Amino acid sequence: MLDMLEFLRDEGVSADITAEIKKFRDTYPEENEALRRRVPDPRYLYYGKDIWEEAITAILCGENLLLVGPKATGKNVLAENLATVFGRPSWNVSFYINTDAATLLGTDTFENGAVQLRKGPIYQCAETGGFGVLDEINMAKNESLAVLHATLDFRRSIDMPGYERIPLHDATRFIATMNYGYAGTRELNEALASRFVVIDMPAITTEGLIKLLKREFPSLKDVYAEQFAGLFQDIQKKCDGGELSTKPLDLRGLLAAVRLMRTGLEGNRALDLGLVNKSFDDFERQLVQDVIRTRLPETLRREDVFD
Amino acid sequence: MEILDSEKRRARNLIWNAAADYSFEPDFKAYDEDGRADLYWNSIIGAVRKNYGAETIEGLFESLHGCSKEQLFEQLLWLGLENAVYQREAPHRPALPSLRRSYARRAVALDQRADPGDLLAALENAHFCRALGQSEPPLLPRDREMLDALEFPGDLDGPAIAERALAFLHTYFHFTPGETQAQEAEERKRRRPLFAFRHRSEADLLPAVRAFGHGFGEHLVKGQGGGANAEPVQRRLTDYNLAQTEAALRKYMRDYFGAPLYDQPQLESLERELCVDEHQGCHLYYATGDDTHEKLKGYVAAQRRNALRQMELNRAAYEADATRHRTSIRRLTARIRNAMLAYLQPTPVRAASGALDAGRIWRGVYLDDDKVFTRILQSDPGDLSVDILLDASSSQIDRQAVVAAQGYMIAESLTRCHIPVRVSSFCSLSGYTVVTRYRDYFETDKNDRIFNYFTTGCNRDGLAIRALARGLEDSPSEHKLVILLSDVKPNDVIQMNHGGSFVEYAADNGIQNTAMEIRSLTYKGISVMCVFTGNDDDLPAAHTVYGRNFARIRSLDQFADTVGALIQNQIRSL
Repeated sequence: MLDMLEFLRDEGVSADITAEIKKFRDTYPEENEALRRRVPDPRYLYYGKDIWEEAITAILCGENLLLVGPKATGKNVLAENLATVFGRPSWNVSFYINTDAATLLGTDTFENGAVQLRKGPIYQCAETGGFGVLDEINMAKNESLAVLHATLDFRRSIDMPGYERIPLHDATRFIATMNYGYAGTRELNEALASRFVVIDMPAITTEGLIKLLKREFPSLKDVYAEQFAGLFQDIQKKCDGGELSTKPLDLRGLLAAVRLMRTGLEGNRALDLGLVNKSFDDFERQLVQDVIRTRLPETLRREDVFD
Repeated sequence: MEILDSEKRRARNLIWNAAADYSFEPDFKAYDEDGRADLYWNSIIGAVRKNYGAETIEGLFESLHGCSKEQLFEQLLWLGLENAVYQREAPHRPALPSLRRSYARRAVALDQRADPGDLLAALENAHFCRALGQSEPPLLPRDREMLDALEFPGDLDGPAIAERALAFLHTYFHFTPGETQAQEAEERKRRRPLFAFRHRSEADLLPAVRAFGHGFGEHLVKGQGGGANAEPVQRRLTDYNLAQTEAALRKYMRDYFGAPLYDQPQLESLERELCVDEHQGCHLYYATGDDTHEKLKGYVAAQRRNALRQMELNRAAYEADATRHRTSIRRLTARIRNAMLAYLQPTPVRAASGALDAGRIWRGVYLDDDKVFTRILQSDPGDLSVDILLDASSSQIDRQAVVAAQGYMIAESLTRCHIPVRVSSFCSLSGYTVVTRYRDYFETDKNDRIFNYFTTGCNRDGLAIRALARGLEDSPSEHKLVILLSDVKPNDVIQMNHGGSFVEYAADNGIQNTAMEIRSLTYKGISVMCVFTGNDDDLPAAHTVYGRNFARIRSLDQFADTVGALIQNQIRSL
């Protein structure tokens, strides 16, 4: 597995902070093999020194994190990376409109003629000192999240009616993500929001994006890493300006397109697949195509783009 | 050449993109000969702004304004600027060389057909031949010298390039900003015969869209943009012909607004019920909003013809920007559907996990049935119907197509969510408040009739809302929501009975009366919201009448989100 501490040092995270991380890892080593498999092996890395420092210090101080930001800002990447950095098993819970106490904490079920508790992800995090990633927390109704209040504040415990009250493991942390203003999302109520420290996730910078592309595709030529990053920023600006929906603003799509180019598909066709066709509106597609046409040559072969 | 809105938006986006700035409205956009946004030129326009600064460039072109050769000068300067900015931008944008080549090939091909005496075409042809690396066409020595001077180098900054451009015009055309225009004005004055009306200078008459290269350039004209403050028609129709009787007036309404919805006895009974108190002395007419052509004569025939023409215009305007409208509908539908889902009611069901149902444990033990738990599933919140009321008074005259499209988009979105919707419009003419009902709750295939909307006369909002409240009694649903698309400018010729004395139904009196009628609706538990279509001046009125429940739509792009959020709020409070 990649040495995350080294990566953090490269990112410029201060040595004091990385020393504290090491201390945390030594205090809570994960010995259980099954749980060790739950420590994520990151596919992508989050780039951005300031956010890293803020997030790590918050976790070290025992706070729960709420990552707020629009699409393609790396909320989930950061959440997953944090679990790796601290070497903790993680549980990912995707919230939806009907998420309720049973989904989160656990529910009664019937096994071998007896009622038993089937533990939910929050319960498991609490027991094992895991990191719970609460994805799109504002998709759920506020009322159904009230069960988390005692878990997330100073009480640090789960009290399920009919079962033992269990205290949270000292290493347990919760990292929630939310995308404000998405269709179907709602305002997070104050009681819940006050139990998190909130990081406003900035859009990925051009430098961050270039690093990401170069790490993902080491043979990508610098000039094209810059162009693809610039292309993504152009689309980002159009989304911010309300000219485009966020559909074509798709970092995964951009990476997929570059991957297709590397395999041999002509560049513009690859970008059609990865970005342009993400939008189902003809006019929007035209705008994205214009951005591409004014940035990249008409034909883009593999040997133009890769060394 | 009519340039489609979608192409204008594309051009704008290309410029913003190249300028890396979205905070301005481009004052110049370029289109090709078919009226499509020009990829190359718009990129150049944006890049010029980015490299040389907006003020410098605006100042440069402003200094040409008003002179007789403005059009020629601006095209020449753009050639020069293109040459300079291309050298700066090409290293950063791999697409630019190929865009330039393809534009140059097109331009050179078209310039072959140009008049040999056309200086601009000759210079452009030679310039783009050079860009393509081809041998130059034969040029007069002076023209060649001019072209060399015009091809500005890439290393100049904003002020330097502006200076260079003006020096070029001075050397070859003896142009001095301000002075030349003044001389030309003087010249015109001298030549104008005595007693002749003052003609505006040629440059003042330059159209906003004019030739540019082989296509068109669209210039932003300051202060342009329709008479939104059109005053409502304040005259009673009978003023045209004092001999008109009430019966003649009713016939006029029938001819102008189309077939009636209710027969005369029904209408009279409605009038007895609704046209009381403040609305004493008013009349009602309900139309079906059809678009049938009937043989009519005289004034009403002309009026009806205009109305029918407007219906066609509404449809055409919607179609012209159909993509964006459809996007809005989709987004609005998604939001409404989401809001409906988010406020579902819980229903308990039997399941294999959840809360234990003690009374069913025996089934687990003896029948091996593990469904001894109950779980809560979310289900329908009880039904909702929506009434949309469009303000059809003359004050909306400049927005007819927009209001029709907005009404259509809301109705269509609600229809797709299977929510019963009724769409009506209202206006007041000669003491008649005319309510046109385009579609009723279950006429799901008649949304198209909303385009039969047209505006005329004034509006007595209070009476229209009262009539709507009466109509809500037909609603099939438990919850009712009313959406008004209005500029909140009540105004009618029939005075208002205000505690025995009669006062004008306008300004504050009208607003108070409208607010009161709206409040009587909300007291009945009916939710009311307004999509405000008016101007800044009328905002306080909208606040008075609707409180917080109104939204202002500044551009079509925010329509779905704004209206969606409002509807979402209302559904939440069901």
